[in-house]
Amino acid sequence: MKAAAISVSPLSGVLSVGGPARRGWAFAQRLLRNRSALIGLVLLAAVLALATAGRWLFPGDPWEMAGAPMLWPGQEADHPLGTDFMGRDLATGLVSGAGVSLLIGLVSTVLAALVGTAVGALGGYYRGWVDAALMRVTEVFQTVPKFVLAVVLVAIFKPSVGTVVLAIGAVSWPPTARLVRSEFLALREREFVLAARTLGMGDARLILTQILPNALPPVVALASLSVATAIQTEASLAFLGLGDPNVMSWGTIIGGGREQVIDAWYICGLPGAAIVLTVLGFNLLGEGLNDVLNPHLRER
Amino acid sequence: MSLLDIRDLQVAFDTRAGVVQAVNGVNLRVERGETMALVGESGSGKSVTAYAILRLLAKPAGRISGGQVLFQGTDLVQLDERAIRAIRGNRIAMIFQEPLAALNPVLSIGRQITEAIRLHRDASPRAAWEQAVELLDRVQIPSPRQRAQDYPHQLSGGMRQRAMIAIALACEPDLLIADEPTTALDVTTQAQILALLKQLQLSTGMGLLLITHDLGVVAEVADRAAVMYAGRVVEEGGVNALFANPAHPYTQGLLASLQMDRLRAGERLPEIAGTVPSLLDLPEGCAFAPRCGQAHRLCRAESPRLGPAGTAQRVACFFPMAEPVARSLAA
Amino acid sequence: MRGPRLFGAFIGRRLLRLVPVVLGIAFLNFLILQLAPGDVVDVLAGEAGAATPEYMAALRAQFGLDQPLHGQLLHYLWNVATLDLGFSFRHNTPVLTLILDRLPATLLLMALALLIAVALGIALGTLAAARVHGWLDHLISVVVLVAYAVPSFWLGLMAVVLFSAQWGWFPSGGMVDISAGHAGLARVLDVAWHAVLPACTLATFYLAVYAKLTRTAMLELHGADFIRTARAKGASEWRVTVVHALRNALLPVLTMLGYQMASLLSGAVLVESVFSWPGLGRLAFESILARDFNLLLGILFLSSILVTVINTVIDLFYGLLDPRVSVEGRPA
Repeated sequence: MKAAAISVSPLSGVLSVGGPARRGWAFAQRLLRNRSALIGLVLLAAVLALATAGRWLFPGDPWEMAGAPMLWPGQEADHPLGTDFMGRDLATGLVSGAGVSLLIGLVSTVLAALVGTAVGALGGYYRGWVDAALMRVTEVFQTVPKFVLAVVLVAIFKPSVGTVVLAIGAVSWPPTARLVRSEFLALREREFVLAARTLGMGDARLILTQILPNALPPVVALASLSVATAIQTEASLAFLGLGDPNVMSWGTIIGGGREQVIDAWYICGLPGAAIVLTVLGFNLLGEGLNDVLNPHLRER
Repeated sequence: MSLLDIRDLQVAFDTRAGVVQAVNGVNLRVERGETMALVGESGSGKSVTAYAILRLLAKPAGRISGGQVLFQGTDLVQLDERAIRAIRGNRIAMIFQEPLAALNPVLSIGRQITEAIRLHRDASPRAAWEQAVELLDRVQIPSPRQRAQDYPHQLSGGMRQRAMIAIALACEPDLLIADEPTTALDVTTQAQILALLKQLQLSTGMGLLLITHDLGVVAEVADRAAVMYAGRVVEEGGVNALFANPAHPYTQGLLASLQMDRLRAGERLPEIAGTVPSLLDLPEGCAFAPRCGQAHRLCRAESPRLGPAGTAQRVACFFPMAEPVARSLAA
Repeated sequence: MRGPRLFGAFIGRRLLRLVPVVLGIAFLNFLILQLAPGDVVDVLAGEAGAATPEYMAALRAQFGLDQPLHGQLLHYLWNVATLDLGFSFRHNTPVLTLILDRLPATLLLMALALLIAVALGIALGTLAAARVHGWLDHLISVVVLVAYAVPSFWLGLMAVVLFSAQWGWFPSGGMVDISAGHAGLARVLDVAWHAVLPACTLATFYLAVYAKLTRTAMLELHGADFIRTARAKGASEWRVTVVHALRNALLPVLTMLGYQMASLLSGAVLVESVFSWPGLGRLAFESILARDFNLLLGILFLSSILVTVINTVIDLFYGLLDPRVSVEGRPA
């Protein structure tokens, strides 16, 4: 039985009548009107442009020793952002780093979101011993220092893009799990769940088609903030030398430029600034999403 | 000279939707040893009036936009911050509606009373604590010495309200303002608290301004009452006279809606038709005119001021009722 | 939470909850060991190839690798319970000794950073709330936003460039000036001077968290009924803010502190690497370079225990501050 165009979703606070396309458009409009989200999106667009268009503007291998070492930004036209101590072009490195950060950040967050949602949904829906067991597991992962665990995982399983993504995903899922669990605990008592059950809907279908869509809005906001953290973690891992050795990330550049930081601080400065702007972008977007999707939680 | 004399008080709130005139010219007098009840439904402006006396309005949105509040001759509206603080809790005290929310959850009851004492009197912590225990005894809390060490969440609703009264009485105020003190309590406790307030008033001789929407409470404890509607006092007088011969159509309607014992089976409950006007957009002329059964062209054009009606009773109406009329006031 | 009897029950309850968590952490360690590529012993001995065959045999015996999986697990849990975390061949010392040796330095750094973050964070948050929507509030919000986004290791490097290299105010690394050989008060001051940059770097992120939290809490309390009562008593604005509002706003801050412990330790690892601060973090960094996984796992285990212990202490503190709290502990 197809639901009518009017939905029960909290997203319906945005617009209660109309098909998904119209609601999506109304939502986008509201998001763009939010100042935090707007600034965030602008920053992220810039980073995305760097990662994509940058490839075309600065082609080539970031590992290649393209010019004289330790050139300052603006010193030579060929290398507008300078070179590092091995003569590698910094602009090319930044472009590469943008791609890596976005990729790892997004994929690991999606992974963490999937795991977290599954854990939270099962615990929140079934409660009882299932919930107790899952909560204990969540507690363990929240007690262990996240970065130390990520370091251990990547170190033991040999650093590569895959292990980094898996490691970050493995340490980032608890907050999502907690959030989804509390949403499910609240939503399962609502009348539309009771109604669906009376129709004879099975558990799996109920969870996936009825409760989950309503639980997702805060998860989406949290996801944006999680990407920010994931990018920070990835940079920290790369800085410590635990990034994929074949891939140049912003953290790798900073780690490499560490020895010369006093003389040529731009080698560390530029990629670091890039990290700050990217993280800022995702943070602002996450705040904006929170404002729009959860207005009742908005602070004054 | 009256203890409290409010003259043409105006309070406005700046909101995103515009300026809300919550109090639109209130005139009120409270004498020593007298209980004055300020009655009205939600949104009539009675609580706002009470807050305005002690300048407790939520800044920056709320402001006193006109009028005077004369306390023993001094206009409280004109006082600076230090002066009004010297009066708060000292000469004029206030108790609030929801005692659990109105007490600091992390401080003991005794601490909250001694704070009130030590803010205005030179007292050592020990002496203040003794006074606090005495005050708790005066408000009839059993085992006051132990109770003083308890926290608000450990007391029942009635005891919490008594504790609030104790805090209010700490510096022997001349005027006590009680904002719906019994609304959050059950009926039995209500009666006890009201009796306590009355008894304290008689023993101290202070004035009591009681804010309430409950006419039963008014009948129980008040000497005089003022009825508020849409930010103004529409009728004022001795409680007995008011209840026997209400002059304003609104007061009539309020009292009529209480007289359910006169109903015959199958009859509709008496009500006042219509709804309270939005304070953003008050009608020209009398605010009650849209709902009044006897509204005249004059009523819609001009706003009536409080004038005499019978002895010691005042009403703001161009056509006050001389006798009680029919129960239903459908327009 | 009143009375010594309830207090004892409180502690007992909290300690009881520790046990499954500790078991869980140990099990996690074990799982990682089992899932790692290659033989468990290969992983533990590391890649440096400095392990002798005798050492490898000893490890095999220690871990009971000839036994089935559950036997190995029990063996491992027993080792952990007796705090036998193995031996670091690189340092030629038991892992436990190594970690306990470096622990005080890390604790010092964490404590200092926390002090700065909490004190400054609460101050800024209260200020922002007091001047809400004004220019000061906006300025603090922007500072907070940026502080939240800056990676700690990068901030540390930039701080070294500015405060150490350029202006020469603070040393660029280490905990003491070994050549000077200070003792007593001079040594304390020396350590303090060395600690300024790393502690401030570590504190920055958490400063942002607490400032934001305090601001929100204070704003929420602004319209609270008991605040109005305090004003009605004649209390000054300062008194209302500090004695009444802040006292209540501290509760969520304290709760957040508990959640942040694990993260603080993680942050310390990074900062110590940048500033060559001789603590657990530096040890972890060295063990990564040397592929000394046994040591790394030991650090993981003990730091988790540390987090749990600190969390329990914070719970206790919370119980003291909030009289509404029952034996169950602080609200989730």
